[in-house]
Amino acid sequence: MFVFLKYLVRSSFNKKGRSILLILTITISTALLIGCIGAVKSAGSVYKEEAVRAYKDNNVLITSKNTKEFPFFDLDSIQKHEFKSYIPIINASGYLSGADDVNIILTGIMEKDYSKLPNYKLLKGYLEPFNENKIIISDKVSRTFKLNINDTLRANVRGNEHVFKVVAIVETSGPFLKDNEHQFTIIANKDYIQDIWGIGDFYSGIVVQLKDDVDEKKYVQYFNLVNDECSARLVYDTEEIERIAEGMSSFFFFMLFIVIIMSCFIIYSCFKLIVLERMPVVGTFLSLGATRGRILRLLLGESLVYAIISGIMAMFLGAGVIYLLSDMGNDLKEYGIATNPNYNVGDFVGGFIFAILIAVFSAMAPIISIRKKQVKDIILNTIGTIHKNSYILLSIGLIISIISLYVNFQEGNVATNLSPLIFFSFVIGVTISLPLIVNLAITPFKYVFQEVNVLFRLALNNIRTSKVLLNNIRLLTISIVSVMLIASVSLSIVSAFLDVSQKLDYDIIVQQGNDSLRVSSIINNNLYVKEIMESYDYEYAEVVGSQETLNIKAIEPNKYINFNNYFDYTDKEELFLELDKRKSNIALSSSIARKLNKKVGDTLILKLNNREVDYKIIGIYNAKLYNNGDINLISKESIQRDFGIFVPTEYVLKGNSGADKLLNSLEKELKGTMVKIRTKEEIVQENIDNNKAFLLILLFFALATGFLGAIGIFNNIGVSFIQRKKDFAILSSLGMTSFNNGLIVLFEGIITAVLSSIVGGGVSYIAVNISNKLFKLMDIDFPVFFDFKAILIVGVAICVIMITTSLPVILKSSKLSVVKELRYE
Amino acid sequence: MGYINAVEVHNVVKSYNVGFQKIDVLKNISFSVKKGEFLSIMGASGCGKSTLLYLIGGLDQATKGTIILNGKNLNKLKENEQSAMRRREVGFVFQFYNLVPNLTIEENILLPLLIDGKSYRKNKSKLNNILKIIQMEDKKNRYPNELSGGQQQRVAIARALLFEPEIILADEPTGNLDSKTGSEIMRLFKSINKDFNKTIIQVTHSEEAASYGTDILRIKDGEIESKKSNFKTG
Repeated sequence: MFVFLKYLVRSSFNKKGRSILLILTITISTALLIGCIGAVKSAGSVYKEEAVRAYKDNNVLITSKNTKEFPFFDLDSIQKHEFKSYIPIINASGYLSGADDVNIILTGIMEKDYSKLPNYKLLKGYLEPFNENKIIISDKVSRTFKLNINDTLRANVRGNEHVFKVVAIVETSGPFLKDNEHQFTIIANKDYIQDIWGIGDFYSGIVVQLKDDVDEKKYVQYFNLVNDECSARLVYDTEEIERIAEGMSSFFFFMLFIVIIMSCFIIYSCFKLIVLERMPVVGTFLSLGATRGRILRLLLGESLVYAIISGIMAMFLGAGVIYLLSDMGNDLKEYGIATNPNYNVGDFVGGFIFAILIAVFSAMAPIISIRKKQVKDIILNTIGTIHKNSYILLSIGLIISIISLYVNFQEGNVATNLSPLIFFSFVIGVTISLPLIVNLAITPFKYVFQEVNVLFRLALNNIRTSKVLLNNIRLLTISIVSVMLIASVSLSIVSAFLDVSQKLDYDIIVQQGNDSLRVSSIINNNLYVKEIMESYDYEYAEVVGSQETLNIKAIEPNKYINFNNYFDYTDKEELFLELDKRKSNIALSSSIARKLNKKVGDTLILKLNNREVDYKIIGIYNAKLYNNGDINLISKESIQRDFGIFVPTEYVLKGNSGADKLLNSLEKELKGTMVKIRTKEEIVQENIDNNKAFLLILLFFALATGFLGAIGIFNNIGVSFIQRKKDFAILSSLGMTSFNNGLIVLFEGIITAVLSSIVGGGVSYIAVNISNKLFKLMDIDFPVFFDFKAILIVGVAICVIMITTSLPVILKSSKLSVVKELRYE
Repeated sequence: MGYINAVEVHNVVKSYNVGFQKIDVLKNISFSVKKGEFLSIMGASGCGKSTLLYLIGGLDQATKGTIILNGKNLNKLKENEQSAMRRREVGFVFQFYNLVPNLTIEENILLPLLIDGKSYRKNKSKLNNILKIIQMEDKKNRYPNELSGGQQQRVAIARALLFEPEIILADEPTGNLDSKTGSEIMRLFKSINKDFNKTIIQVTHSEEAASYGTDILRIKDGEIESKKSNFKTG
């Protein structure tokens, strides 16, 4: 037993290069798995941290509905017997006098409530009595605007200047958490705010801590069901966060799956070689009476050695990946919310087990193949290394890929629903049948080069017949698919946003603030406004009888028809004509129609603002990336008539003297109303920036597959030379110079690069096509198109990789000892 | 004036360093092989006979001494010239055949010509002739692993003959064959020697195989024990 163990440990690290390759492969795939799981969990922790810092023990936020023109409520109308504690608030807004670009949120609270503010920590000052124009500011604002106790702050509110006196400076948390140089909160006595805002004893919100025995989720549901004036929401909604994380994480896991397939393939190939190399020793052990079972356990033990080392390394690397991915996804860093990676012991243990499983299972097939070999062949080591094509297996691979393609090009939802399966079966099918494809591609050239260049011809023949060289094409093909998928998705996302900008006809969008009447008046009277289109957006509208929610956009159909040329419509004129009728009609985006399983002519019951109305589906269009494909149109008249929503969410404007003049004028006039004014270019850039982290993380996976592919190839080229040393020696004995031997290796590298680029390019072209349906399945219905420029770059990069990785072997081939390889004495 | 000797070996020494020890495999060996001679080199395992053959074929370099092959001093040939000489003037036959496993029989036989940049099409008739001689016309599209040992060795001989080299070097050509096949192969060598007047140098353990040669050179511990004419005919 000891001898076997000693052999196991020694042989595991005999070939250092291969050991490193195996360890790196298992480590990278395991670390990415740990990283993905951890990062998805961490995504929520950032928002949780934000909620804790902003609201501490408060768990529900009640706000007046912004669908009303008077967005305030009477505190007595709210039932409070389930509240443990609460702070009623009144929010107004203005801007800092003398600094037009600094908005101020004026929050009014009762005098008795200031000490109940979440995370309240007084740093300087004295509040008693907290009345009149006295205000609390954050430490950050104090430092940014050099404001100290007893200093005054001048703010313009609804066109009038008001002077406030700083009486307290508190820690930058709770309501002050998001204070920055362009917008900050001040807290004053509610009577003062109500007075300057010109309303009576009304409030705009309540920060609530529910009693311990109250189910917060049920409370929110019930509250929203019975209240027309206000709505309640959880300050931290786990399900909502999970829903947001789910869309992106499914793509991460999809990419991870590609990395894992590649890793399995590398481990499998390495063990195939390990088994071949160990044959003489295995033969010796067998001849000494060792059982096959013991030999199998011995070789599986070798895979276990790699798995354990890699598993441990992956835990450390995985922790780094979790931090990196979490940090990339943390868009609240600017508010001082540190990345809080989720280091769950269970995930690390799971990762370790995964490392063992991936190593042992990938190594299993070549190891078990020993069972089929004759003991005599093992002892005499007469098992050949030449690739014998198993035409049945190759044909099965080809059939799998053809069936996958056939299903992919079928109409209807089948292809979409099966798209992940189609994707992987197609890629795996092609990978299996690759020797057949390569053989078919190479054979004609073999005859062409018969008369032209024997070295090239030999190189072609070697690629056709050498399993290791064929494996390089496999590795490169998988790498190309991964890289091209990511490059194409990235390019498509950016183009889709640019497409949105080109095909939506507007100059500026003004997003509603907290002073709707004033905003409406200013916009309607602005001299530079040529055309106004109001839009009423309602998120999470319910569909009675379905778990799905949808985003409703109420528009003016006669204007929207000219505004939106981005959607793919079947009959645009007809659709907007139907929406313009004084009926309850709705047009659905294709992803929502698919989710609801609805078609044109069907009806659904929409529930908005606690009102249920039957709507008829009069059209379906592809909204592509617009609001992630979830945008469903009804008319402005319908939303007002059926659901009593009268406040537009945004104004889509066209100017009569260009966008800049309109922008400058509106920015000036709408100061302090908390509106968000953005030009088309700003919106496009914002969308691209919002997706940067996502694209960066995808790039991370592409690099991982590229890196694994490159080290796999580097190893394979070395191995293929070692395996074929004798063949090169034979060629030398027949008069081949060592320079020409080196040229064969170089040609093999170049042919591999060209073939891989062609095959990988073709496979990735189809993979990108399938990914359209994959995105559709993830409810993102946008066209992913093949990045032809990227495939050229990838092709050149592969040529460079192949030539670079071939160079050490070319050098080795020049030092080949012919006698050593050929003589037997 | 043409050389009458196909091979001349003058004071050849071959030493290897094994660890810290220097081992002299060949110790100051000199002999010559006339054109048309069929020399069998014999000796016990490890006596240096194969090393000597590889030195003659230019596959290895002597530590000291000179080897002249077809009038050319191997020491003075550049790598490219040595390779060209191996293609055109010498044919090798090995104990384990050393065919390229992923090439067909036809491709294996044509390999030296193709490496030399000769046309595949133009040499097709030559190939067919040689396939006829080794009686393997019907197997030209097979791969080496589809043939028996004897058949593979016949292919290796055909490959060695294709370029019509003056000298054929054979390292234990029957060492991996049964006695019947071994005899067939030796008869083939004998006829090549007689009918085509080729110089053949073979290394062998077998007295029977050696008996097919015109001369026998015996080596013991790196030194020539004897070189005699062989009067028996095979």
